[in-house]
Amino acid sequence: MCWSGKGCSIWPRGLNLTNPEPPIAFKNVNKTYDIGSTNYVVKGYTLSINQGEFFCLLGQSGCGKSTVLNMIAGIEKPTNGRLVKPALVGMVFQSGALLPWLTVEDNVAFAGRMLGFSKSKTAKITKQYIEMVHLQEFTKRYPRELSGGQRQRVGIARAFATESNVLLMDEPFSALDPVITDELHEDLLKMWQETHATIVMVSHHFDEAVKLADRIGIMKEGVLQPIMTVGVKRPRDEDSPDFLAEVKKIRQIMEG
Amino acid sequence: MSTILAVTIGIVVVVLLVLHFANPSNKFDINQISAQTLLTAAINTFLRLFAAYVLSLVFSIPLALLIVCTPRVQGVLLPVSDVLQSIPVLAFFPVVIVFFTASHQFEAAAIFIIFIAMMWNIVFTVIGGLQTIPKDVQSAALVFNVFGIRKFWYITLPAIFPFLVTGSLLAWAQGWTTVIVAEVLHTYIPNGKLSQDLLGLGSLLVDSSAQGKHAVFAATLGIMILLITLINVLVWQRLLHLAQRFKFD
Repeated sequence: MCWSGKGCSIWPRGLNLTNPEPPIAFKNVNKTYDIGSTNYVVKGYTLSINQGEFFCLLGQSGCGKSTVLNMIAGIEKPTNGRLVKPALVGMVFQSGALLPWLTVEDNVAFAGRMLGFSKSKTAKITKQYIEMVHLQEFTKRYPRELSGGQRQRVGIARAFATESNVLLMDEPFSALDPVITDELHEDLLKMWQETHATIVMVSHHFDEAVKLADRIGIMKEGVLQPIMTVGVKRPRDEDSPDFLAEVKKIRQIMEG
Repeated sequence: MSTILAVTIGIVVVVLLVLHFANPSNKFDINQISAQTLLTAAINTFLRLFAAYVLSLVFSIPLALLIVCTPRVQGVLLPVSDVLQSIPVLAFFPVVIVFFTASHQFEAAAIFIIFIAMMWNIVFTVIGGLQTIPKDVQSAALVFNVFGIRKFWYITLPAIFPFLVTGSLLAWAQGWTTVIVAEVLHTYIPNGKLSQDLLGLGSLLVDSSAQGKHAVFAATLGIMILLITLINVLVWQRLLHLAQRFKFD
């Protein structure tokens, strides 16, 4: 389904659906910090994330899930082990990480400008993604003139505007109220289905992970627990017994 | 419109600077001060402050970047800068004068001392500004392949703009204080004469006061207050207002 009503060909994400190679693969990756003694933040990490998959990393604060995301983004490097990652990713940050001196339009266009897209291409994708996040009426506003939810929409549009096939999201909805979060979940799922992007999201909300993800990787003290495949059909009803059973399963793993 | 105005003012200042330093008009007799002399003095003082300010910006921003972005350098330069900025600028003015008078560069001596007085305000406010750039924004720059000079231009410079404005405001305040003594060179030059002073609002204030020329003193003070007020209203207030847009939450 092409929900934008403008034809799917407007998002040429360089996606090769016939390529079975996972865009992200960790093989026995460790990340340590030397603080007098060696401290493992991520330990023996092995994971493959498939193309077009919505993968959620779940865990308590400080368990190393953001470090995993930062390694995929190239913000941090693994101490050892093998990591296959895309050269370019789009990323949504918890704070939005918007530039306060740029308007909504310019913040979204920033990615394209910095990545060397032509002016016409940047203008086109900026317009498209602003429409996708329903901010057409706010293009000339500055971030401080927007609500928290609207700012995060700008952050999502900016990440998609990189035209990368992989999107990383670092607790993007944790500072938002439940109603806005629900709206953004719906919009994000539509954008994901529309663009076939691979999404890796970090969260600490069990129900959010079950609602959005194909698979969930639970982390405890830097170690990845067995991957959980979400067995609830989409669209997912948060009150359905299947949904609640999955949430219960996660809780048991977390507490076990 | 404001861009055209800013460019026009910029061109006028640069032309005045070139004319001033190509043919400095520093000869004056405190007993014969005309309105034109007062106007020349105001322009001279402004140009000295402006030249010192530009030097301060050119020196301070890279120094602050070096201190913040290089942890090893930070360990050395930050305490050194802290000590240096606490030394009263006038304490080593006589040494500076001896150095510059050897080549008869009186104008350069005054500008140098104003520069020293101005720059620490900018260095430390810019250091503060650089440290407030959110980690997520730094990470976003990395993800969007924004490095080096492009990062400085598109992220760092706008991010430190509010701090640069505050630092500049403090620097100019310090500059106005220092310029009063920086122009009165005869008191620092061994066996100095009044004729060695640079024509400016500072030297007119000091010399007219010393000679009991109350009318000249009052007129000079009035022009100085007017000039400071005009710069504050036309430049700093506008920049402070604009800086609000550049602040992170």
